[in-house]
Amino acid sequence: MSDAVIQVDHLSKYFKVYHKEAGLWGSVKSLVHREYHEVKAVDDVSFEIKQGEIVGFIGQNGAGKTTTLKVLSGLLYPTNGQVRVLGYNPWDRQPAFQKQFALVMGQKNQLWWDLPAIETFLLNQAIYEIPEAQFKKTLNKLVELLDVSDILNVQVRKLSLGQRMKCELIAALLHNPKVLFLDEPTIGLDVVMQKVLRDFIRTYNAEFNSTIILTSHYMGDVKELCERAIIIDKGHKIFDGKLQSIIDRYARNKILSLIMSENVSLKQLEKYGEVKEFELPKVTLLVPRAQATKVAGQILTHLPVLDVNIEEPPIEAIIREVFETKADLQV
Amino acid sequence: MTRKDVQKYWRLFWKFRQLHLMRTLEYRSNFLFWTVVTSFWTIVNIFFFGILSGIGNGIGGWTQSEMLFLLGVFTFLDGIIWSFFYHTMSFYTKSVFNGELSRFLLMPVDAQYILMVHTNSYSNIFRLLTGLVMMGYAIYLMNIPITIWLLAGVVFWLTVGSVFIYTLWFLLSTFAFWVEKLDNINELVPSLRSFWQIPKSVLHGWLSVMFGWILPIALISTVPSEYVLGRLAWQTATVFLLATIVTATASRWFFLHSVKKFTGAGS
Repeated sequence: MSDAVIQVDHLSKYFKVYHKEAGLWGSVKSLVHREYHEVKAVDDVSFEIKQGEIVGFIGQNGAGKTTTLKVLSGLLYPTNGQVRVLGYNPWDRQPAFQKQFALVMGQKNQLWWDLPAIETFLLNQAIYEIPEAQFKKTLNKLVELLDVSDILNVQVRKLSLGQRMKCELIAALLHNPKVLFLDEPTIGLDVVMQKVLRDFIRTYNAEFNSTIILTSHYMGDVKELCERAIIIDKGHKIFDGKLQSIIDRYARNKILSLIMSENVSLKQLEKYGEVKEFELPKVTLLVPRAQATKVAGQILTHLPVLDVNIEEPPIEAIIREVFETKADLQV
Repeated sequence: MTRKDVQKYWRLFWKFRQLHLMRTLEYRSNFLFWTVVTSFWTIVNIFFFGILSGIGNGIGGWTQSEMLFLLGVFTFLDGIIWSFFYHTMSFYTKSVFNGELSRFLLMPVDAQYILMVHTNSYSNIFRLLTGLVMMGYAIYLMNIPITIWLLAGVVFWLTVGSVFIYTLWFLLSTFAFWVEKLDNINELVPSLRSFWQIPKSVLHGWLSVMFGWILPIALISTVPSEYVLGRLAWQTATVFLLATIVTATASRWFFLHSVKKFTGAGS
């Protein structure tokens, strides 16, 4: 028997959408006749996630990430396939299941806009039937971790986006969910706040051994938090494995950042790799991944180098590469 | 449903009332303005029907005092409609369209219940109180002795009337899952209110069959009033009770069936 907390077996979710012709005449025609098309938001996706894992769900807009999370949360009824989360069929929406997971959507809020966040927390205490002692303990812990003690009694509408997101997380975690679905939790936040939330998610995972699925457009979130990634494109899963193996397979080049001690010509540098930046004394070269160390050695021997640094390309660039050559990735 | 569940749902009902009161008090000018507006419309309505029921032998054979009681029932139920149902249903149909329903479907509480109780308006308190006062004053004018059975019967039939209106409305609003946008449906039930603002005996022919038997909205105010006046026929009571059970069951089934079509409105 599988020890997976989340089991997704050949999941599909299709939507029916109609295509309207442009312009007023198109609108008039749509009154009489509409042509509907089936959109396969999620198509035959299978995966399993074990307890305590943080899995990054990566995909372009409309790839089917949020739809999958909504099916896993019991919000959407699957067209085909089986889903089990914590042993429950999410669609049954049993309170015993709903008390064990949380879905946080960065673009939606559950806080009462006109009232301080503490009122939503107290409401959630009643909804999730959290005993007073546990409520106080968890709230104090979350407030301390996210450093929000001074804003709990401020109207939500007067909070900044980052402060609101912190309070959203607290509202979602008060019942200590075992499974957490985070859909773009850092969207719109500045880099400082992104880091605060990432640190918090990591700490929460470590402390509660919770299972987390994270979707984010910020690859930094995925890179920092997730050992495993699932890449989804146009409803299909195209990769499921260690994030590092994507980097190994798709980062064909490494980046050599050089600081020169003396002037060198562009022609001298082109012998070693593709010159991406040439603003002396700073030079950036792209060199084949397997030869990076060797090339760096040659440069150090033959050119006047003050400093050299070998880096992986940004994860965004690698993922872009994955989408461009996804045919090779089928899993 | 266990006793613990009932206690939880009862607590939640009052928790939401408390939250809404706090929210209302945040915007006191808005609250006062709407209280004045709804009070004004209540007075105009009573005045208009007061004039009509004073003409000849009253309306549909009902005396002025009997009409006052019926109008009291109507006004009280109207208070319930504008305090709870209108806000609930407006939110419901919009939330299906814009995906906000997700929030309620995730909670470990019955989604239909939370939709029903999560919002309300306090600016119709005057209307609710006016309805109660009108009923009480009409009973006093007609020298009807106030007994526990009278009070229990009034509460029972007012509850049945409220459930009938709510479930009928909820049934219609649930079509929001099946069409792309359905805001106007929430104007339909309020526009039918005229049928329970008058005694059922006013309706004749197909209107009487339609709204007295098939879709008995004309009984909503008539049944509690006839009960108090001691002339409620068992056939009428049965029809009203059965209609309420049917709409309540149908609306529940239709909701559970329709929610499968929820698309969540993108991300």
